[in-house]
Amino acid sequence: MKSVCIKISILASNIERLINRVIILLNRSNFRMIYLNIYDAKKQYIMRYTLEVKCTEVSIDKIAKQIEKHLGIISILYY
Amino acid sequence: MNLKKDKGCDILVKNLLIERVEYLFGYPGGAIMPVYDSLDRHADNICHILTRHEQGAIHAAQGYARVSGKVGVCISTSGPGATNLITGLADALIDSTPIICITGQVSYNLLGTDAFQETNILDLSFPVTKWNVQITKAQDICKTIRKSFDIARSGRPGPVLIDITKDAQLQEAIFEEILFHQVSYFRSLPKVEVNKIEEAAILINAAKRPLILVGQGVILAEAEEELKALSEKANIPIASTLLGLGIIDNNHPLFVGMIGMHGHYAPNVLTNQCDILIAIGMRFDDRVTGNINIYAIQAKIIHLEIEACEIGKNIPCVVPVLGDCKKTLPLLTERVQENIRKEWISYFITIQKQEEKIVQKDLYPKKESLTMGEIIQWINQYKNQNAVMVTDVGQHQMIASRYFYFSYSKSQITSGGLGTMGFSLPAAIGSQLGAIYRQIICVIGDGGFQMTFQELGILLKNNLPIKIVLLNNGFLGMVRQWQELFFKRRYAFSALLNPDFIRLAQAYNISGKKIEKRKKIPEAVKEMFECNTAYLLEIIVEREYNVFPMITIGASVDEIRLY
Repeated sequence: MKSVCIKISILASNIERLINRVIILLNRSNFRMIYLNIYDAKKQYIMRYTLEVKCTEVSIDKIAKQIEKHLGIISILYY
Repeated sequence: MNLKKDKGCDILVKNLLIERVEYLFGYPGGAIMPVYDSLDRHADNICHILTRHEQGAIHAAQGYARVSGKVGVCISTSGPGATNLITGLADALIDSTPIICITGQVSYNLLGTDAFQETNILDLSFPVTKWNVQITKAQDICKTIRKSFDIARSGRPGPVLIDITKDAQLQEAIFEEILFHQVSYFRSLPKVEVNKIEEAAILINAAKRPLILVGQGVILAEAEEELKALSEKANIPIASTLLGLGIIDNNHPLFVGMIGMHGHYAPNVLTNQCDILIAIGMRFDDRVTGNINIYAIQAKIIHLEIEACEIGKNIPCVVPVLGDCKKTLPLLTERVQENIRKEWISYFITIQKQEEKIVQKDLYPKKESLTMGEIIQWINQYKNQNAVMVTDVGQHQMIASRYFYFSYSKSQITSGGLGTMGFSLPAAIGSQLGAIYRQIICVIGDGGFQMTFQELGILLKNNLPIKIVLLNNGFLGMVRQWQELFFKRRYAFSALLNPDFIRLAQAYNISGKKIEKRKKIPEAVKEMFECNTAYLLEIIVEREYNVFPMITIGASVDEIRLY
């Protein structure tokens, strides 16, 4: 299957090591990470992670669901 | 106002008492000693079971949780104590078992300094826990423990690891009772979509050959009666996964058997002939589906599941019904019409007859050597009706699951997803404590027994009447079977030179007997069940015996091999 670059934007609670969980899930499916940016969202206690990964479109659908179920993840968008 | 302050370790134990923890499985060590000191002070209210290895502690907690439906708790020290829990955590995550692991940690100022027995257990356990957390201040203990129990048992249950630094255990803080709403997190249960249930009901009502596949999710949701109501109203046959066995009585006319690699012939073959497949609380594991590209492609799949990421993960489904099946099943039952599907149900019986040769060979062998199947048959004869079977992993697990007579829910405790050898003995100990009035039968192979047999020490101390049936074939049976079938009989390192197991049991003050002749089996099995204490029954079974039927890797479920 053809691999594509996908941008992922995650809104998450400000919980320690939450980004580790996200990265572990991406690594598990051998996604190639192109960049990762973490910054405070406008509201207190909320962080935004922006990632770009190389993967197939089918696999990102499944991984996005797995990321979304984690405690502290508020929403996930990808395109 | 001067509020009374408690030590962190006392606050931890008080919180465990609030959560009604009765048994704690663990192993002490340097970084967790303050908690153990506190446990000693509360010994009247909370019973600590000293295992002989941390892996034994976590498997015992799993067994306790699986049989009782409560949260199992285990405790260990930092470093090696914590890393020894990893296998059990992975097992609990994949088999959705609610457990809490409390590990000690070096003091806060020593973190990251390669201190004695320091390990970064949080990062190590990320992929194998539902949630994990480190407590570094005593004032965080109450909230974290409450939250951890809530997370472990809510939604799809799973393991939670709490790492607590030694200084947090010794600091003083005010004990506060945390209310549920203060910690309940925002995504515990998905909202039930009624329109999806209606869509599912329309499909079921129009179906001619529907089949229900049930998994452990139904047991976790305690929805056995709701499932039975749906099946009986619409006359839909039920097949079960390995962990779903016991949901419905094996003698129920609508129960058609176990699916999966070594499951029954008819439900496996007819999965590829049904028109509607209703999957409830199961996740389409590769051992169930065989080749996913040709799995039930003719069928429309309705998937009732609590976790969104499981829907469509392996097999695409037409109607996803998200939610707790305790709630969704009655809504579905209301909407389905009564139906008589006599022809379809009798078709299962016809197809199942093709397996008769294997059953005859397993249960009534003509050879002199004993088979595992006939032992299980004798166990069925003498066991209590509500007995719990705890199995290890391998040939005996498959044979026991195929031939054991299940009539009660939570009667099958085994390591399904991870396939952890050495699981059964500690899990049987935990199960006995979780269901003190039920008979626990631990069926185990000679390979698995030697992985965790040190836990016989717990039987010695606590006098638990567990019946251990050791099926000894002198081989790692399943490995040998695969070597025979796929590696041209090159038995590379799968033969075992075993010790005298009976003398080993005697060393732990456990009575036992070794059986090699067929005519002695009934008497020995009877004697085992009549014994009030723990008992080890070793049976020498056929060395080169293969478990059939079998779906080979890459084959479709309807290409299941009978020989």
